[in-house]
Amino acid sequence: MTAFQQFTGTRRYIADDALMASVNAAVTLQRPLLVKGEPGTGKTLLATAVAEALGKPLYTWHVKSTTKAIDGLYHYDVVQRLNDSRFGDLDVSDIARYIKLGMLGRAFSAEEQVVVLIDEVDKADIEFPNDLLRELDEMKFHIPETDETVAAKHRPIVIITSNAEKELPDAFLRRCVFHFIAFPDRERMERIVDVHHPHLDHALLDAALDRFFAFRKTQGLRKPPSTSELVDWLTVLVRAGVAPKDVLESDPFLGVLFKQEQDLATATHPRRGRSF
Amino acid sequence: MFSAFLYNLRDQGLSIGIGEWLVLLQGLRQGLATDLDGLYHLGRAVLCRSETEFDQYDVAFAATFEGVGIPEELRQKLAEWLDRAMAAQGGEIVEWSGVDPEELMRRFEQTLREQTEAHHGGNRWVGTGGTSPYGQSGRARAGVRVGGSGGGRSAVRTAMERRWRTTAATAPWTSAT
Repeated sequence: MTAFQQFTGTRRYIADDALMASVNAAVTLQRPLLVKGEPGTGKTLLATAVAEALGKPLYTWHVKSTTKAIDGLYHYDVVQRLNDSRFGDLDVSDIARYIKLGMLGRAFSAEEQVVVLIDEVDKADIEFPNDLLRELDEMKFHIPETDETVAAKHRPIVIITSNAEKELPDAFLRRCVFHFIAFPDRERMERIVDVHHPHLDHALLDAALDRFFAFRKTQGLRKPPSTSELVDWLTVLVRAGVAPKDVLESDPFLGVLFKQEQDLATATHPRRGRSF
Repeated sequence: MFSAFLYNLRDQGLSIGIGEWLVLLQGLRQGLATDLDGLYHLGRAVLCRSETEFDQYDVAFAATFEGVGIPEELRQKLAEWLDRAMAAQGGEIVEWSGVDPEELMRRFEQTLREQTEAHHGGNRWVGTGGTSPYGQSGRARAGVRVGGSGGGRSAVRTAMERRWRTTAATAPWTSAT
């Protein structure tokens, strides 16, 4: 293999050493990169950043609870064909006309190397990752309807994210390069915020971060606020022109940080929330 | 020595098969890791399957690579820095000028090792206190900092900090993280 491409983060995405090492390992070893981490720590954003940094198009496959592995490969539109056979004047004997490639299928047949994001793989059925094992290993699949094999012209860079809502099968994990996005410490958080709010008042940032990290330490939160909520919160604070002093004293716009009523109550009255 | 790493990992209860191990070796062959830092990150990415395994990985890594010396390049940088510091500073340095560089280096390593053991999770580098010969405050961070690229020991230090202890599968239950 020729000199491998180096991912070093982008202007809008701050990556640490471990993350860069994982991305470069996945790209070079041609294995899927499995990214785990708390919601809102930038898992999905990572794929965008990798695609941007390497100058490759990004294909995103959002996984839902009803998603089947085959959806990402191809879809045979039987209903359309039936409709056309009855009402249309198209040639229905050409089945290939009714085969529509999914995101993975399109990535395989792309003329250049692309980045594929399989987002929130844990949303789907437990068998879902297993059903994709072969396809991701060999980077090809067979369409029985047309007796055609779609093989990747260029092995795509596959990035898979998981919120750890379900355990993933061991066989699947073995084949992936694993990265866990740790929650950023204060210094890194300041850099991340700086990317989103370049000219933020220092006093306001300090006050907001003080409160934010204090909230994260609060006992009994179901979903502690994360990076994306902090960025949103700062946006609101800036728009509303809240003074740093008020941030510390009156905790404005907490609804941006806490999405659950119970958490909101816990955050404002930590003592009450602790008893359960 | 290197396969000792595999067995240390397995002793820690990580079920790493020959497949993953070969992938790691392949990664090394392709130049994905050029120093201990790189090896630490590459190994973790390839061999661990969940963040609950990071702590065991850290323990095995530290056990395998502890005592692997400071690389030659860094050793020279350190020596250069010490020479410069000695030349540039009168005052505090004078009392140390009688010590030969070898001895100084040995003590530096010694201090480093002791610090690792004494300050789990600490981020103080050797000599920021100001009384040791290893630190001229800000310059020590730049000159003797045994971290960043080329740092042989920092990966072991990172591993020794065991910052993933709380996510380990064997960690005690806590009400919040």
